[in-house]
Amino acid sequence: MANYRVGDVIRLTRKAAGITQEQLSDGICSVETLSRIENGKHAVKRETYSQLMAKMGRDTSRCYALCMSKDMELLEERIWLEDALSKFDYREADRYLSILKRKIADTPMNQQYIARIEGLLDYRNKRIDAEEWIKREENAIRLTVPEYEKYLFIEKKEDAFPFTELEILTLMSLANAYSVNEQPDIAIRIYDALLLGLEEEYMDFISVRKLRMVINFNYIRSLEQQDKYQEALDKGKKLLENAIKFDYGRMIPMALVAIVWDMNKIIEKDSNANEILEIKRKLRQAYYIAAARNDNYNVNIIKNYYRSCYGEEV
Amino acid sequence: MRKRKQKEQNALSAAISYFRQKKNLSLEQVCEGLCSVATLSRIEQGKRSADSLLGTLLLERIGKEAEQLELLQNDEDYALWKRRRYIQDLMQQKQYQKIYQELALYRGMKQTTPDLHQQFCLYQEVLIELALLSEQEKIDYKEEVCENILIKVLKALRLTKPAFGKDGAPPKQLYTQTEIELIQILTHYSTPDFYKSQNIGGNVGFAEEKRVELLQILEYIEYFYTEHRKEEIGVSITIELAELERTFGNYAKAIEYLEKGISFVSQGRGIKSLEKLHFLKAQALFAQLGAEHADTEKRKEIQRECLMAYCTCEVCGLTESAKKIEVFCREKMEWQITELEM
Repeated sequence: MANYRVGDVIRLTRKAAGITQEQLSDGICSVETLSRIENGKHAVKRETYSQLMAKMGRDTSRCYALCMSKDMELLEERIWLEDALSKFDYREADRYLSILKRKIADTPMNQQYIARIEGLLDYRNKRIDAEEWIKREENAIRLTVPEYEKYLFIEKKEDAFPFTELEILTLMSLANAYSVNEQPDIAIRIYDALLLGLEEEYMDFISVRKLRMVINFNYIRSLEQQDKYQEALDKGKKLLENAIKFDYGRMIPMALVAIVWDMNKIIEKDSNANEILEIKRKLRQAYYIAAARNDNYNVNIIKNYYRSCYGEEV
Repeated sequence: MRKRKQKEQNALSAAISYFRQKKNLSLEQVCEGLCSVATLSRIEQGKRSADSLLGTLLLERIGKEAEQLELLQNDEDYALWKRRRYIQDLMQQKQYQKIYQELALYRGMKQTTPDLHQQFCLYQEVLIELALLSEQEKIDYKEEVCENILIKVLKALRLTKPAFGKDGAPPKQLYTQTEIELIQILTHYSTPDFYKSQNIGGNVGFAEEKRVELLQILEYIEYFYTEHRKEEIGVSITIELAELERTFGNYAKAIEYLEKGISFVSQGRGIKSLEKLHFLKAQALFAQLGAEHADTEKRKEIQRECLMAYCTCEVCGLTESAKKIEVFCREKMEWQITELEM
């Protein structure tokens, strides 16, 4: 979970809401105090923070632990759910989600969390189609940001809306849904807005780094849909580099496969023996790293892909 | 009145109090060396706020991480927290000179729990000194230098675990991440003489004392940690234990620990030490092979372990380790790994 800087969150939320410091502070604190809070020169009181955020229609608690309120136990169930998702085990994830749904407290943030994952699982387990998935994710993001579209058309990072980690994940899900619905242009617009927003340092950089890698992984798929293989390849290489640098091992085989896939597309017409060897080598590396991590999902994908490309076993 | 206080309980205090009670831990067990029982009690009730370091360490003792909570911090606390993260990041990038500068700045900042921050700083210094040492000489450590580091390790450790290595230290211990890593460094680099000179271990002897310490930690990790944290912290302990068993010729036991380590990585998200685990496993399997040198099934298994280790090295740019694997394959297995690759 991410950590946020109070002052920046207030400032960015206020700017996105299009109100001045005078308007926001009116009846809550002095303009000077608000200004000092936003600059990080003044420790904000819990009460003041709640009032400011309430005025802008945002969550008012200073420590927002998701899924808690009613039952701390859910924190663990949530980790199990996310572990299942990270292993693409959608049946197992179904099970944890239904447990979580029964026990979770009824807050907008919790509902958003549930709605996002439910949309994903319903789509992956073939209970709904892509269009319905888009609708679900839209409803999910609207739970906490009713006018989310407004914040997708930003040009400068200073104008970014300080989405929480949860909201970013929800918007990414929405973009993914657009992508599988053959609307990569909309998906890319969302990814771009999210990446731009992450440049503004209101959130800790470890969370930012992970989010960036996951967003970029999805971004690559949308680029491929638009036949922009070179751009996708460049992004894939960058992603691999970062995954290695920041110890995100789960991503390494996936990034390698994406790179191979794009290389294959680019050289389709004229390929030379060296390039084919290089590609084969990369696929084998991806295979053995996935195997080293007991990542059977990707082991099987790579095995099948290798067979379909070269008519032989890895 | 009581109700109002209850309402102020925040995510951090709620988490500490919930998980402590769920795991049947006493206040004393959790706060030992970190803060007083009264302070912890007040934190749990939301009557007092913990700074982010104390909060993190308390959560770590009960096997949780602050990462799982979304925290909005005071700017003062955020500044300290951010600088700690920055230092840890610099460590990954091996920018040691910069870390020393950052540590000097960090030490000058206002801290509510000085001992804990001091432990953080000492630990970072230890990490740098060890890194520099292994860069200079390949683990052939100059004893003098090494002893100074180990003394620092012990000093840092005893800031929060005052009874470490002394008689009468309680058997069922809880650990923070830093404590675990400090103990691991200690067991890894210590000599029997050092243990003796510092009065660690008493009568049980050096190797046995090490084994007991490591097993206690592994047990703690397996009971308290989520998958993600098992990977982050448990892997190095399994490697340490495997190495210890290997020196005694207990290869089956060593393999058992290595497989535990591999499962920690696969349940987590990372890749760190993965090549080490698989290569060590290959070596242990090979040692186990003994007279059955020609067993093709077993040979295949070893080759596969080597390939997994080798590919990981190649992709992650660990050329030194890759070479070692190559040499092992050629000399011990009489098999050329690159040949098979292409």
